[in-house]
Amino acid sequence: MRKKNWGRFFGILGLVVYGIFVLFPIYWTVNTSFKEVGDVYKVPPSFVPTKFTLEAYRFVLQGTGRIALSNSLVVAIGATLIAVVLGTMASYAYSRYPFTGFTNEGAQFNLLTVRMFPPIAFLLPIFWLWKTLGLLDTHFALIVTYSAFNLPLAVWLLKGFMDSLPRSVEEASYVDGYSFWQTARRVVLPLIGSGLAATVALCWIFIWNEFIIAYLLGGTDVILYTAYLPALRRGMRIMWNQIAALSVLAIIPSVIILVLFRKYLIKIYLR
Amino acid sequence: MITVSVSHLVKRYGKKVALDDVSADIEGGSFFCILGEPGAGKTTLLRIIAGLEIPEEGNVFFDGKEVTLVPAQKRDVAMVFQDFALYPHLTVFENIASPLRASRMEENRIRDSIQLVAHFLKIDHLLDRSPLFISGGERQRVAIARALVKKPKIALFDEPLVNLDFKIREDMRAQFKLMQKEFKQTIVFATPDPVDAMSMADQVLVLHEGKVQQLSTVWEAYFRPANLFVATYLGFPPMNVIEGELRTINSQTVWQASSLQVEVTDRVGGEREKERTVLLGIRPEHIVLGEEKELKVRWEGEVVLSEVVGSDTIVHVRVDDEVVLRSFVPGIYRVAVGENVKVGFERGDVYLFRENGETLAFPKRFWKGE
Repeated sequence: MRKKNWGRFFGILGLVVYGIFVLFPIYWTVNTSFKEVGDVYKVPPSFVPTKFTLEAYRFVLQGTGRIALSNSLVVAIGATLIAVVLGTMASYAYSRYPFTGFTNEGAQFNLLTVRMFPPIAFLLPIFWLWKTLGLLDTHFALIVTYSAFNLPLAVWLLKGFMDSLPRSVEEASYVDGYSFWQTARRVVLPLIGSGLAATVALCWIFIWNEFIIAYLLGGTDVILYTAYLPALRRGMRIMWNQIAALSVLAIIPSVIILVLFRKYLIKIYLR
Repeated sequence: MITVSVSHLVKRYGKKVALDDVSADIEGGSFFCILGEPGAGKTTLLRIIAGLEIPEEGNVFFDGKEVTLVPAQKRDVAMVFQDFALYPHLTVFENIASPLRASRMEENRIRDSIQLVAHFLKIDHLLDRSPLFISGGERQRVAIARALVKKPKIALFDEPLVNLDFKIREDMRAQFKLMQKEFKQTIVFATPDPVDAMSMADQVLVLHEGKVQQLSTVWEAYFRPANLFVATYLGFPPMNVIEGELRTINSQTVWQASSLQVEVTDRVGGEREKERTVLLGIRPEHIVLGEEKELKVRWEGEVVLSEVVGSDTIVHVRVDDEVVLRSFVPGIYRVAVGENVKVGFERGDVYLFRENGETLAFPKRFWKGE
């Protein structure tokens, strides 16, 4: 009994330490975002702002920061939607129809290899592709590129859900008199709902946090917030409070999505 | 009147032939049973009738109109799947309503139709529940309700009793028969269990490895099996089969296997002498233990196993080195393993089969026109 209590004690202690480890950077970012820039460089650092100010937020939301955030929202929403919609259709095909030439696993693995390369390996040709088409630095180019990079992930996640959906349920719907698309809407989509939610969340996180593509394919006309962050340096001084403020704002959409979809994400990891 | 007819169906999956030249006519209002082992092609045949599968060769006709290429949603069919295939995200009511909503029936008529079917199948109290939280037997009744509620031209049942436990299965057999009478519904019922066919079916189609073995009434198949497969498949416990030869002894045709002999009186054509290897079949219920009765054929043997099945007994008796006969004894019959017993049967109960399985002779009392 004593032994068990100790185990429990250390377990909780471990979790507390881990919690501090994970949460402290977030706390520090929030803390910094409400400081004046002079306060940021104070030694020793203060754990609460000595003078609470929204100065940094005001700056970020006035200028390019707001544009960068709204660009990021447009691109991330667009690319996530495309990746998930196409991913749903592709995963259905992978799950239901035989592929000639490959086994289904082979065909699907081919798609997954796209994600195994570091994106930088593809980016030069992609850069030239968009440049040649005159589409460099547009929402369109960013959305298409992000969709392409996240489609394999979406397919891979959703195929698992499609596979676990019994075929007979779809066939029952055909026999009941519903067409293919009616069946997709009435039966398939509701039954893979949790898979869709999880896929949306994961695609969103990858796209929203991405830097290299944003930096190389955008950055002038269409600047995403990840590409804008490094620009917040003024000569010798790094405006940590502004960077922190932008970071706090950028965390918000992801937090909303993760809180809404967390039970579906857990389901994926438990499978 | 013939409602559904299939002719010369062929279906392959890769190299495996699922259906090989299958033809059948299904009469309106009848209970039609497709009987066969797992993998015999039963499900494939149902799926082709349903329109979920297109045959490589052959045609499907509904009321004389060809529908081979018409998809499932445009045929007037219903299907009860082996796994029931209920929509897990909808209530029981919505599950049953599904085919009616597809045909855009008015809401109050949907309600009435469902009440009627649900009442008959005793699932009224489940209508608001989720199919995930009801028992297997209840799930099946929901699946049946969904199939019957739209009054289809033909209702297809794919081994619906397999996933149920023994007690419910007994119950459901009676229910099916009642239901079919009540709704005057044409039913095609696929099952691996000959008991299902014998207790419910009007017509039976026996399939083996994709080929039709026999298409007839159930009793025809039972009494006048077309071949050895049908003879051993229908009936429980299965027919005893012993390999032997036909000989002529004192101008009398005799079937013989080492020490065992049966005089064969029923002549089937003159070619019998030519047959060398002939299989003798005798149903376990025709083999009598003991000496009470006057029987033409008497053998002696040793009990090797006695099993009680339900309230009856099956006694396995070794009558020859290689030959163990099963005898079906009604009631609980106590006999010790190793005990010597006499077994006997009437010559008139004997079936004979050619080496390739074709029926050579069945008991005279089942001859046609005599």
